Amino acid sequence: MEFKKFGLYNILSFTLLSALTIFFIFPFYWIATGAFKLQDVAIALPPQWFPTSPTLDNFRQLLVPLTARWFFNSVFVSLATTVLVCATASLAGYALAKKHFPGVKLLFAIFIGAMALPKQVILIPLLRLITEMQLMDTYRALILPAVGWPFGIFLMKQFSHSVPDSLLESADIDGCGEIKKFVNIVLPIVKPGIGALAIFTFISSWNDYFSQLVFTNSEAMKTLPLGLASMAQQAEFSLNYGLLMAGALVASLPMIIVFLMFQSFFAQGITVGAVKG
Amino acid sequence: MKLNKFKKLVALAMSASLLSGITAQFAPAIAHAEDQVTIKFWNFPNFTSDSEFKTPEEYDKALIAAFEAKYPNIKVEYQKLDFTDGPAKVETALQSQTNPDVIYDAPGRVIDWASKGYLAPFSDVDTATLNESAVKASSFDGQLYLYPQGIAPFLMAVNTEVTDKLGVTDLLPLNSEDRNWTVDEFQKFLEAVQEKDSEMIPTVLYSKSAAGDQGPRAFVSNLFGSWITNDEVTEYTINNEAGVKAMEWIQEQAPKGIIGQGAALEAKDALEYFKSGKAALTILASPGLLAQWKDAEGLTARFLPFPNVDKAPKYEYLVAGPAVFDNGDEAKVKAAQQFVDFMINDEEWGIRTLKATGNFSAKKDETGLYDDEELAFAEKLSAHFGAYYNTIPGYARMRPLWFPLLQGVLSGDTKDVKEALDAFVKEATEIYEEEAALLKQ
Repeated sequence: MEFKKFGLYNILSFTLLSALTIFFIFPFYWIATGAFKLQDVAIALPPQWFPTSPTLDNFRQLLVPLTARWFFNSVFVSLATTVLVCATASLAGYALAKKHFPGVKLLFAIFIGAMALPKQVILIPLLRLITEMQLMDTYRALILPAVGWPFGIFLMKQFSHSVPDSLLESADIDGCGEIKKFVNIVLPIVKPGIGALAIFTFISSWNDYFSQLVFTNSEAMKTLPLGLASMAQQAEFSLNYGLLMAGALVASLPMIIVFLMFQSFFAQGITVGAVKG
Repeated sequence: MKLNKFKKLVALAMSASLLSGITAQFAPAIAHAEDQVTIKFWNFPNFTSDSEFKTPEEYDKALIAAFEAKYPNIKVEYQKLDFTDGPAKVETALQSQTNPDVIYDAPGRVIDWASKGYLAPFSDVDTATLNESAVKASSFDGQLYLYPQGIAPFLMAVNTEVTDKLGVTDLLPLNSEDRNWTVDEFQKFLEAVQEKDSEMIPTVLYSKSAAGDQGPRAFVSNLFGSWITNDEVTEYTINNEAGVKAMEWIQEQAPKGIIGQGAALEAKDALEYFKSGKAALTILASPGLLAQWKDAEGLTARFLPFPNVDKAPKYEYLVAGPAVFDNGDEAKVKAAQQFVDFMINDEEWGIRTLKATGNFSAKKDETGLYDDEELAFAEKLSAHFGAYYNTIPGYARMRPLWFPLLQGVLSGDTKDVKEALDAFVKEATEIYEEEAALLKQ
């Protein structure tokens, strides 16, 4: 009886999970197959679920120097943002969690408050600032506004709490300097948090379409999502679906790679605090 | 001590050389500051039809180069915009006061900016020489804010290669001079297409998004002779008897499949079906689109008026031209207006720029620019333009109310079309009154 119950539960779970997997994976499947379809096949009715005569034409159209530049821009901006966010957030998070100085609570409250602000609210003053500082259409305009991400600081503060005070005190007694203490003691302990933050930051930066749209002017400074969108739309009512899907497929690859690289950290990162020791 | 002195000397020398460098860099700029003006020109891909240039931005750059050669004291910085996210970019720039000095656009957005005080008017333009409808659409508070260069009606088009193949071309009114047809004749044509080839989509009445929504609105308005607003553009009128009748006609035809599965499709999809020969007719066509279809294989597009019960259709129309932002610098406004004047009135680049858009001239005396039967037909329709309601206060907020209304009718979710139209008009009127009151403040 018990066995039967368990079997039925497993079957139901498996069925439900399979259905959900198919449901969530379908858009990606549609993009992946659409990338190999020419325009007339991409818009065919009834839809062609699998391309009967797949083509590489869409990918050939992507093989232009400008696409390579857009790809480089996206990779460079996302990587630089990730490195800078991880560096600043881990330092700030550690300071907020372990250093006692006047106004530390107020400072943290300000960071928490900043998290509640939607990006659109700060975009306009930010654009003004970037223009005034003559940073428009530069890598700095795409990278610097993302550094000092309140969520990253919050996340790293929570991780830094897990660093035992006794360990830090021992280091102090042994005469360990602040930088050495941070690098040799704190960083190894908060590594899962940095991994999770790296994934969040990379994805957020890669997909930050609107900021990239308003902070860039020239074709050469466009990022991959921006460039592909304009490439696929040559006139007001025309959109090359196959080309767009091929571009989307290429654009999703770095994110998949980053996720695979950091996924073990990511799992640890998102479960921080879930189990109390 | 000696070393310190040496260090100080080196520092002094370096500072002096740095300062002299800065001075040397700034000096010419300061000397020419009074003469040299830099303006920013932002443009959508409007200039698509000039065969010399592969892309619209290449055309834009050539236009700028020609202007700068003629006016060396004005430098034009160029920014390409896309139709999908360009409007959002412009709005953000306006909010942060980093907007351009010149933009080439349509009255819908331009008049909204004018009403908010962002623009400089074209006070010196002789509006008597321009098409009245275009001037009306481009003006706010009696002042011209968009210099109308091009006009064009939105109409329908049929692919005669498809209809010839199906043997239904004789059901089209292509042989009459005005090509007008009734709703019954139109319906008969759609049914004939479906009967001859069940795979062929006769036409697509799309309603998924705001892009190209003028097509469905003009289609609905024309069927039984209603219009979205009154002629004075002060009241929404599409819920009148004719409007209800039109929606009821759509409600009746939708299940038959002769007007496509438009509840889930947008203008782009409908046009792709037409372009690729999967749909026989499109309810969205214009001279600009005709130019884009020129090289499409298996497509011979011919213009058609919207079906109308009295064979007297009215047309929604496009007005396009540049507008100048008032960024608080008189010299820039003057330079921007100079650029606009060049774009429209220069002997060589004026006509060329107009023709690059594929539109007809808004100048009354500039007709017959294109040697093409379809364009000659479309040009004549400027006498039948309906009220241009894209400048009604709250237009942008009305648009998102339109497509759910049509979607409901197309999908069969809406049972009482009168009730649905009344609800649309009530909500649109509330928006209009709210926005009109704001403008009066």
